[in-house]
Amino acid sequence: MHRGDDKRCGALDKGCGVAGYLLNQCIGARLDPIRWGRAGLTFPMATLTSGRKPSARETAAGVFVFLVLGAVLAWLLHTQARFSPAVSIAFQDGGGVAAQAPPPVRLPDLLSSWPAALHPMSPPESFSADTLSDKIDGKAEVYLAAGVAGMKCQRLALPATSSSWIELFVYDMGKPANAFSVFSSQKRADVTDLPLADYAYRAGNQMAFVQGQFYVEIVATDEAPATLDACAALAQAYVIATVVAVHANVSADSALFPKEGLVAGSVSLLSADVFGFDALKDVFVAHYRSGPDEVTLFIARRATASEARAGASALRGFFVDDCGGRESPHPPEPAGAAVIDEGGTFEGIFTSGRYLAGVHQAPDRESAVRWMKRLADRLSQSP
Amino acid sequence: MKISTARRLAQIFFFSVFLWLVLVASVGTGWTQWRGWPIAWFLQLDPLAAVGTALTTHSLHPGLAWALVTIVLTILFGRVFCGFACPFGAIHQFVGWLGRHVRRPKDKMAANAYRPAQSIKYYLLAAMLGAAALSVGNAFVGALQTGLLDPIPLVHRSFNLVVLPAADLAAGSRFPGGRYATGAALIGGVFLATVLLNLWMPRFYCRFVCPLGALLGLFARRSPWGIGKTGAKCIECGLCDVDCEGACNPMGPIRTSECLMCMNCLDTCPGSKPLAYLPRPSQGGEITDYGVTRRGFLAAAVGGLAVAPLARIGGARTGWSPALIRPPGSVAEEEFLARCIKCCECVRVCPTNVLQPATTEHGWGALWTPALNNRMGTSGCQLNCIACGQACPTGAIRPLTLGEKEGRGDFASAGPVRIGLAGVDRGRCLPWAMERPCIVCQENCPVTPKAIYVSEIVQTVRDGVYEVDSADGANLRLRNARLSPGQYASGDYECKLAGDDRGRAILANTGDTLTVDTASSPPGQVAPGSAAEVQIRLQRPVVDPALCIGCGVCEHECPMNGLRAIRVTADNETRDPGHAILLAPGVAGNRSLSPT
Amino acid sequence: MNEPTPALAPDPATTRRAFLRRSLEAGAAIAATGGLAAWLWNRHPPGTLGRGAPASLMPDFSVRDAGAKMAIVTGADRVRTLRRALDAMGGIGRFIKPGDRVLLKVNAAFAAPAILSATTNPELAAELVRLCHAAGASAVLVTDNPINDPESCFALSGIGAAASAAGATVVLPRPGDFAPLTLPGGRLIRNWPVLHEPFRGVTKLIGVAPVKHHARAGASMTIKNWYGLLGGRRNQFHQDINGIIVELSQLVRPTFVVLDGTMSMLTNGPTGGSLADLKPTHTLVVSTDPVAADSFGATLLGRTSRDLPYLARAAQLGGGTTDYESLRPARDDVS
Repeated sequence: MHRGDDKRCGALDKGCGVAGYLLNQCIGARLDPIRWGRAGLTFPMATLTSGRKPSARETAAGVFVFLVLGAVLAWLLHTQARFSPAVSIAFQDGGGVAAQAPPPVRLPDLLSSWPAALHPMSPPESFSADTLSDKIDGKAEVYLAAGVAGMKCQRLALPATSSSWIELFVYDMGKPANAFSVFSSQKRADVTDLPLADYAYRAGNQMAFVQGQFYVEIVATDEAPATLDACAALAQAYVIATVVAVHANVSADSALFPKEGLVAGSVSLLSADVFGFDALKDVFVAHYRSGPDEVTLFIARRATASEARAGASALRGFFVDDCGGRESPHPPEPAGAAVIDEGGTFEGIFTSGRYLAGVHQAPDRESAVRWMKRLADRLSQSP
Repeated sequence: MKISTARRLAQIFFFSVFLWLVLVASVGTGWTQWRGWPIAWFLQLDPLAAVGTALTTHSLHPGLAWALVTIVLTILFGRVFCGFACPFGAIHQFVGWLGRHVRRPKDKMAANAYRPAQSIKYYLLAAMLGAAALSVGNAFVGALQTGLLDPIPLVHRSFNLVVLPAADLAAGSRFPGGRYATGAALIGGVFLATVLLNLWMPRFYCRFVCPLGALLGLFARRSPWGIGKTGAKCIECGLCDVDCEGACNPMGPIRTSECLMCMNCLDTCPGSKPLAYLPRPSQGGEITDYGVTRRGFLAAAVGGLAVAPLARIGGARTGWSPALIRPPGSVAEEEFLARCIKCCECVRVCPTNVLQPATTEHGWGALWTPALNNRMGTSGCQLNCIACGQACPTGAIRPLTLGEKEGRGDFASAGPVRIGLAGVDRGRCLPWAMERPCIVCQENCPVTPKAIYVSEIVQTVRDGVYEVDSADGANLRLRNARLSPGQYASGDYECKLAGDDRGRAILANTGDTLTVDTASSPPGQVAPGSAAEVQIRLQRPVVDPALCIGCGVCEHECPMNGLRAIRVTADNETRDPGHAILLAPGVAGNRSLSPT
Repeated sequence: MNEPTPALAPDPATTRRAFLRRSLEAGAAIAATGGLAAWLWNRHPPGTLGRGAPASLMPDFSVRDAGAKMAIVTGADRVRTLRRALDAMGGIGRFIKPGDRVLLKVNAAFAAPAILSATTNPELAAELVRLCHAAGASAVLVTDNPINDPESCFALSGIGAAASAAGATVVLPRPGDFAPLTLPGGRLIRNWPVLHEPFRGVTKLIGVAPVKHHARAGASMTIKNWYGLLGGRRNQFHQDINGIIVELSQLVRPTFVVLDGTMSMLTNGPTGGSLADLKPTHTLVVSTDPVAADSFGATLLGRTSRDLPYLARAAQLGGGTTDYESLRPARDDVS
């Protein structure tokens, strides 16, 4: 036995020996202190007390091994922070599909041949969301709230006159629903619907329409027939040149409103601050007329039924707490509906599956309940 | 500090790293998830994977360059990988140590004596590399079967598919419904067997079976440094054998290719230390061959060489299995089998557990290679996921970008990667064959536009022709009717009356009375005795082969739980043009996916 | 127990030498491994999925200085009509020169007896082989990639025996005989396996086809005959049959074609099956322009070239002309 050399054993060696010893004990092994051979070694005592003194070179080798282990550990820790593509794609807002940048705004290829002999008066201008206000000043707020990605515009002169021109604005709203939202929120009161596209109108010297994710405005300097004809020709040419299917969802949701009593062309999508409540977003509203009464119905689709219920509860809280309304008793139908008396008008809120819906500014309680029931019937029929 | 202590700590370190990398291999950014951890690192360090794939594909996959580190260290210092780093070896050594500490040293020395059977691993290596080597132009592609016994893929497979899911189940499953792997019993059985054999003979696998150990032994046999005799007097007590892991006979002429560099002999050797790790050749003599006879080697190599032609004659190419659906990004089948080392990393990272290790249903060569089983897992192959290609260390599954997988951007003209084609079994589909509405498959189809569309039909239900007894507004009382209340009230049923050109929605029914919709169009006179046909409006799913990518979500969701009414086969998969059924996109009749 | 070894007295010189030698070996091994790894390094990871570039294009086998020629000969005896037609074209020697290696692409698509006229008539094929040899051809190969099993097709149609008897080599296609071709500007023939092996060293290509009705394409004549050069799962192309025939007309440029309208299959093509499907139109056409040949052949079926959409398109793309009269075909009769 080489007990005399105990002290020379490194702490690590001793540690290893102790750990080994304890492990042995833990699993109930009995040590067998056999002495044999001329060496007279005893296991596992030998691991505790093995008198082999490691040379300096051996210790250096051991240290070198540790350094390698340390380097490996450092490298691993460094690498783990650079996410694998499999991981990073899951975190690009909503997955790779949604994260794909929308196609860049482009003016139609008829740049080489404008219709109605229009010719460019100035070069085309391009703006991003940040610089939009450089062109349209405060009006940019409307578009920014709806998620505008960029805008291009160009002035075109009419052939005959030098005093008339028209300016073409193409807003890239990112999604068709956003384009529809700015279209409907800016729709003037006194308009002529155009057969040009699903959502298109002319109001005096201005035309506006939706083409997929783009909201297009054509503004003319006057309302002379020649000018208006040129506007119409330009709009037509643009639509023909940019064949983009309108996203189905916009039509689907807005088609949920009951037909009877609907004021034509009054369906719009409010993106934010609906009814003055900043937490209420993305709500379709439509105006209805029934006899002398005028009400507004609203429908909002949410991701889940519980989200719809939460939205309903928040809206109810807004009307009661912030607007000083008084809640009147629940009507029998629709189930779970709330009716709030705002002193002069009545608000009705209910949920139907994923839909949050209701009545805004109904003249009396009965009509609020009646309209809610009609709307609820309609919604329960849809998937 | 003794070098054996350093070795123990190194083994603990590398085993812990291995365990960690296996644990975190799931898609996510949490600290116990993938993040950027190099989960396939041990597989990349494995020289047998590099050599095997180099033989079958005549190329070195970039990530496998790590194997050069292992090879260089082995050429210089001996089988330090086996002694210091190999996680499988660490398990064997530990279990062996547990098993033997109760024994007397004399028995231990006997157990660690060299046995000629230790040359078996070299024959196994020869056979496997022989099988891999036969790549003759287009005729044969070598078969890569190293993954069956290569310890690094084996230990990954065992932990990924058996040990971790077992621990997960025991700890109250974090994965919804638990993670399962087909054939886990065989994988677990092999693992358990190799581990338990250590109780009989220490490091049994390393000594007798391990082809990687054999390969490293080839590199190590003439290393400049290694265990050997210094020339100091050796009393020949034989105690160096007591803890010798490699059974390499350190007392006599040491067998250089068997020495695992466990360094234990340095500790147990008493006296004036004739044994040391020193520049070789050893003063005690060396045996640098490995007990492999020329005849035996030829037999093994030729036997291996025969595998590829035999598989070919067996119709491996022409009789391809249409039920074999490979992960998206997989290369064509022959090259796939030439690259897959059966590590099952892809099966581990698949977030929906739809990837499963094949058993023998697709041929013996495909054992433990990944295939989709749409009846298992949570969802079929997810559209926005590229995990399997990122996990594969040898390029059997290419690392796709999401754009290439979905056919967007630069890949728009090529279209999306398809792994198969769904087909509706009209004899089992509820709306096609059983008069019941469904279309779960269409609803769940994830591509846009949907690859499953519906064709609507209205048909008279079984025993659905009645006579009207009396009518009261919307309520029609039927003669001789015995309906269950609400039977026709689900919204799918219509009642066609005489005089109507189309049916009216049935809103409710009692035992003998139907309540139909009269709001949309008022009914005419309904005479008693006139016919009332109850019809059902069914939407029937139809697959558009130009859009279907074979993801299998439809098959997974189909309510026909046994033999599903919509099933995916490998037809039209993009990885093999020979499996295509349609002409290229843009040709007459086929709609291109991209809007351009 | 292991064998004990006698204690050795270390000799520093030899050990150091041995160690150095080992170090050098190790160094060499490392260098070799590193070099091998660098050589095998795969810069382009796997899986091009066959979206790659063209392999090689089919050569142009036409004889420029012979010009555009056509001959239409009526008669019931194929051997005589063939000889007269070739004479009217200026003799076969204008096209086949001594030393030429000639490939005869026959229609052996079905294992049907010659009498049903679904395949190239064996006498016609044999005569053509003999004429080529007479013109000095060094070798004449006869091939086709049939729909049914190749051996039985060549045997039962009689072509195999007749051609061999005349001295030709019948080449039955094997799986390895195809190579991927891409037609420049083609939509369908992209990286598609095309019969390649029999074309090795071939200098002249002659197509020989019967006049047949075809349910899908309208007619199967000399251009459709090239379908038999396609490999792979070529039945997919029936989804765009006119497209593939047009691309074939661009891909293959033969020396000349022989359109055998001696017995034309008017109905139930391309397999026919009954003698009632056949009409003895007794006409044989030889032409350097397959489009013109097919345009004339349509008339034998009672149609015009306008009834076969692929003809106009092929002509438009420069494959020939549908106005066969503009070639001033030599007309003759040997009845």
